Amino acid sequence: MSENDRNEMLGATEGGSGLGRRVVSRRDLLRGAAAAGVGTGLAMLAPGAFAGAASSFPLGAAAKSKSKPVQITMWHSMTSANLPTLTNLTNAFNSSQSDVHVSLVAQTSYQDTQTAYTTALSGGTSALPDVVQWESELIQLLIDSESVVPAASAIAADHFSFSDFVPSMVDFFIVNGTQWAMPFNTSSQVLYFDQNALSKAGLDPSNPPASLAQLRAAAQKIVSSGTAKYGMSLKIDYTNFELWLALGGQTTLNHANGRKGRATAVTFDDALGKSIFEWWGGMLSDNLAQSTSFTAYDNLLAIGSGIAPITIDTSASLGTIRQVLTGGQYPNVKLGVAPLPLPTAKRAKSAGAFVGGAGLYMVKKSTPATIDASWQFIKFLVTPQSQATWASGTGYVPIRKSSVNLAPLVGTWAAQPEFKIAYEQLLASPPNPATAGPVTGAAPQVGPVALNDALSSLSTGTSPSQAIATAASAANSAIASYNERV
Amino acid sequence: MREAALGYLLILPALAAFGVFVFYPLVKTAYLGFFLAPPTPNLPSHYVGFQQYSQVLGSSEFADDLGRTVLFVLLTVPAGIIVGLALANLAQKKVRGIRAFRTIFSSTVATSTAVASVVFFTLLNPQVGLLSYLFGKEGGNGILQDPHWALPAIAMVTIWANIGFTFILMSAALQSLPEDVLEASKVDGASSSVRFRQITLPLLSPIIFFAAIIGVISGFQAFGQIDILTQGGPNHATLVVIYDLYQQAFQFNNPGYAAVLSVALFFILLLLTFVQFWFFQRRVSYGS
Repeated sequence: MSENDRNEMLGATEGGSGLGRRVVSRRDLLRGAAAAGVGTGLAMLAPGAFAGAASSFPLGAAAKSKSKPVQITMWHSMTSANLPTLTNLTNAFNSSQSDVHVSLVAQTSYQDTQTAYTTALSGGTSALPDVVQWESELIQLLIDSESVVPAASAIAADHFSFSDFVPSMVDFFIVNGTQWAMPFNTSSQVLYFDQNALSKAGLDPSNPPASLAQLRAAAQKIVSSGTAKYGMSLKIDYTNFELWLALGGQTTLNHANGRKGRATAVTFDDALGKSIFEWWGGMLSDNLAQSTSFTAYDNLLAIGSGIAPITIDTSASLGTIRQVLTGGQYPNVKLGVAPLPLPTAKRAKSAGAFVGGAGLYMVKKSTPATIDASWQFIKFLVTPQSQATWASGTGYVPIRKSSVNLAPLVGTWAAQPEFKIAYEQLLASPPNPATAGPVTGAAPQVGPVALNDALSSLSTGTSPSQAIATAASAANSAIASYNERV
Repeated sequence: MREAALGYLLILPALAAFGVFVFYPLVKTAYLGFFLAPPTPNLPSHYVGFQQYSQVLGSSEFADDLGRTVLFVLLTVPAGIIVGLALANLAQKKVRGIRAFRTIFSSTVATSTAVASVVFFTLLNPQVGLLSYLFGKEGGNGILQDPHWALPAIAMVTIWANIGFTFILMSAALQSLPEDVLEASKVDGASSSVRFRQITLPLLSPIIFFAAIIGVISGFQAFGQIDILTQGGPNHATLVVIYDLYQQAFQFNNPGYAAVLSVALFFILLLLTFVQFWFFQRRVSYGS
């Protein structure tokens, strides 16, 4: 791999004055990474960043601790079917060794975790957990809080290898060359459809739409054949838009999606972004798609009720969707799952999906023993076996390649091959800033507010060019306000 | 002198509780507004004086928030009082099974905002909701997803949820009306509509005044139904001051901005309450 390739990988697209200096430090990073024997892509560059800090990570402190087991707590946001799987894994860890004992604390949602965590920060570190499961897109907030130990320092000290990890899943957690968290529960957006409705409309359910143009053509057929009122449901979800940018090889934010220096403005209002908005607006104004709420599952209900037989949603919902649609209430529906259609007819070489979900962070608090204990637990949660158990029990995507050959995941996927789709989609992502995904502290405003507002305004007749311009200016001022406050 | 000291001593516990839970947070909030708050509270904040106050309160976003809030109050308070009063009037009739009706009319007092919201969330759902079907809104944009109808829909839920409380207030007031006055007017030949307008309504004015103040304050603070039904959307259509405040503080991690909104809300409510006192004082009859 040439130096140029590496620069491209890191998204040195803006050029500029700071580049030369950075290349030097990158060589240092590489040396560190090579020593740590780390895998491919961006993941390879990350751990080295803390090569210097490796010696400061208290590796082995838990085992040497005077009072054992070392007690640690982990805050998580897992509910329903995911919770027992996490509890079982934690129990397995607790009984597998005598150095560390983990207590789980449920925070019910990522939003609640964020609120509880930031509140706890105001009173020092005593109320904080030792490990926190934190929503991936909020990564910059946690970095800025200066309250977590970068995973990179433990990775370097422990010579932890990422060769078995899916690169795009690790890359999300690397900002400015430092890996901050361990990926844990990961997912991606996929296409859901009713195979029977597609057949009825004269479409081939084994060959579902693979591009936005094909998706529109399919919707047209569904409507014109009278199969359903709408061809599909378009959930007002910025994630779809951001993923389409990535699948077209484009970033959402400047400074390489906020991964090479703090993002200061959005880049999503480029030609590709505009064409996606045009497509979205056209689907709605031509009555080929219905617009559905961001916070509800109306788009999925519409598959069951036959109002709109196609939609896009997170792969993390697949378990629930299967349960509902195959529960006997909708006997005429045969669920199909396919990769997210591409924004263009052909896949660009640099294009790929980025990951959704959450990562595991070590909180900077108290003693070396608890920090090391946190690392031991995190390592346990991402072993190939743990990930096989986790993915099988929850429907999340395993982050390790070898997990897919292990029981119980092998059996689960053999019986329900739909669960494989999101994994394969993420596995196909080449490492670059676009497929690493956007990072900004203003993430709660850029996506859920600026972009979702604009997407929702498409359903009430706002022109796509006007909508994306409004979104860009709202997002830019939110980013500026956040950056000013840090 | 000793008596006064004893008096102060006796209110001390209440004062201490108020001080800790009301006055201190109030002062602290106003103080927080002078700082550009960092995204997490462990980081240093920057003192900016009145700059943040003038910036936030002078913004078009705040004017829009306030406009929507006032509209929401206008949609909920008068309609809520009229419906409550009408039902209370009906429930005064001596017919068979009137107790059952009274129970039904007052039942929403036992319904929390969250429960009422979830019920209407389902009724208004564009895929499976009964009300969506009746309004011809099934499929496509639901009522809650329509920027023109989202706020009226939330107002409707609020009125419905508050019916029980207003009904009980109005019923109690109607039952405590002096029978002799009403009877005397009846003997004088006043029609029932004249009696209602000339006698019942003036006698009820204190309770209507009370309901109006409570309604305005709770209207400005309406949060649960917005959080559950629309989260301020679609496209800001239901973004009232209190919801903006919540988003700024807990979702966008900008407590300084939220503090400014909170202080503004406090003064607006204070002013409105004074205005209402001034306005109603000339029209409210407390009897003799």
